[in-house]
Amino acid sequence: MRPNVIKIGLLVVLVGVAVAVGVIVNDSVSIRGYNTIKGVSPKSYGGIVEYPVKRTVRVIVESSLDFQGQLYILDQTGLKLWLQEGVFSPLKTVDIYGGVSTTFEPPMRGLYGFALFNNSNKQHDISLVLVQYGLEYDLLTMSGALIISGAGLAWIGALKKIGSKIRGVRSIQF
Amino acid sequence: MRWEFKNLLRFPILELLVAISVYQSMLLTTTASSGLSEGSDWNWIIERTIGAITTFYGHQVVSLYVPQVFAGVIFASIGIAYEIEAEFVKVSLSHPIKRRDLFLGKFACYFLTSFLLLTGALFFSMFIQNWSVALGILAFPVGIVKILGLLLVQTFFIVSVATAIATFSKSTAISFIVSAAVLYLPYYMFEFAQVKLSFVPPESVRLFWMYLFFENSFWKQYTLSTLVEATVVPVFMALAMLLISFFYFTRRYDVR
Repeated sequence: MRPNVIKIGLLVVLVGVAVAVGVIVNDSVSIRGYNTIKGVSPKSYGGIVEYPVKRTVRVIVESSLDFQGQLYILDQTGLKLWLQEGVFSPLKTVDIYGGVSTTFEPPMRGLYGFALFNNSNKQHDISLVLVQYGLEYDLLTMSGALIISGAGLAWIGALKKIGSKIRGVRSIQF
Repeated sequence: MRWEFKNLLRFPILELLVAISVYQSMLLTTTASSGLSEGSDWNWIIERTIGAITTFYGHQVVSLYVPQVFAGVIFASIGIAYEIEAEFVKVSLSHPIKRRDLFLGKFACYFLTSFLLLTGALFFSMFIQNWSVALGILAFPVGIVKILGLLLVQTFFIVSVATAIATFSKSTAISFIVSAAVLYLPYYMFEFAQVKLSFVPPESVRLFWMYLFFENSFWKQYTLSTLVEATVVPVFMALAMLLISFFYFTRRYDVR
């Protein structure tokens, strides 16, 4: 039984290391998404949904020079509330004059909505670029926890094994 | 079978395979997930998101081909070729055990271990990468069944070919090199030479994935014969190789 504890511990450590290395290798590259919302009417919303948002996001909004409006970022709950019950509670609001470039730190990974409000009196085409960069700290934390718990398991298994050997030697001596 | 499992999963084979599989699954998942879409209906957005996740992971089965080959080749070379070479098979057959049971037990172990290892790694990655919608994924079991089906076909092909080569080669080194070369060649052609052999994985699995997840697009590009080539032919080939090696091991293999 004891060697199994060591083996399980080692396996958990290896899974943690594999997750961490996989995340670091992946996150060395940024992920880019692009979309154009055609013909957003005056005093109305144009919406975009992005999944999964898991790293820092740079949001770049581009339109014509006379465009004025707002960019709203909503999390999964906010998006659901807005679409199903009409309650609008964005996580972040940014004013736009012609265009804007801003960053957004998602509080947790998941589905996020990027809504654009056209505040001008003219119809506009608005393009939205989302670039995700940086590290997925939630997965790195999880892999750290896996490594620590796996090492702990292996250590307990090894201690028990050493303890049983010492007991065996003592029983031979006395 | 229990002994065979212990033999396969001894240190450091299991540890290495688990690490490679998890790493490969993690690598695949993160590169995939960019995409913007417009939507104003909540249920449509959720359905589309879950659909995109399962479709993506279905396609990742193709990318898990190399770790699967690695697992299949190691298992068959250690479990069959090495045991024949070191004459452990003679010892096994000196016990009251039928040759049929010995062969099928070994094959079942390799198949189950490879399948469960890669399935575990893929679903582990799928859920930790998308834990915020994990329950949503479980609400769409059809997508998960499709992914499992793709993994099943690919694993069966790889393990059957590796088992057949190990049975006939009777040498660990030859079995390892030949089965790795034979199984890696289609991947090399698929990935680097851009020569797609539609009747062997990984291309056949890609076509099968396309049929399962994008049926309309599949019929626009391919015909029924391509579907038969991609689904029936690899399974038939694997089955034929397995049966030939089975009959060789049970009827012709000389233990003296």
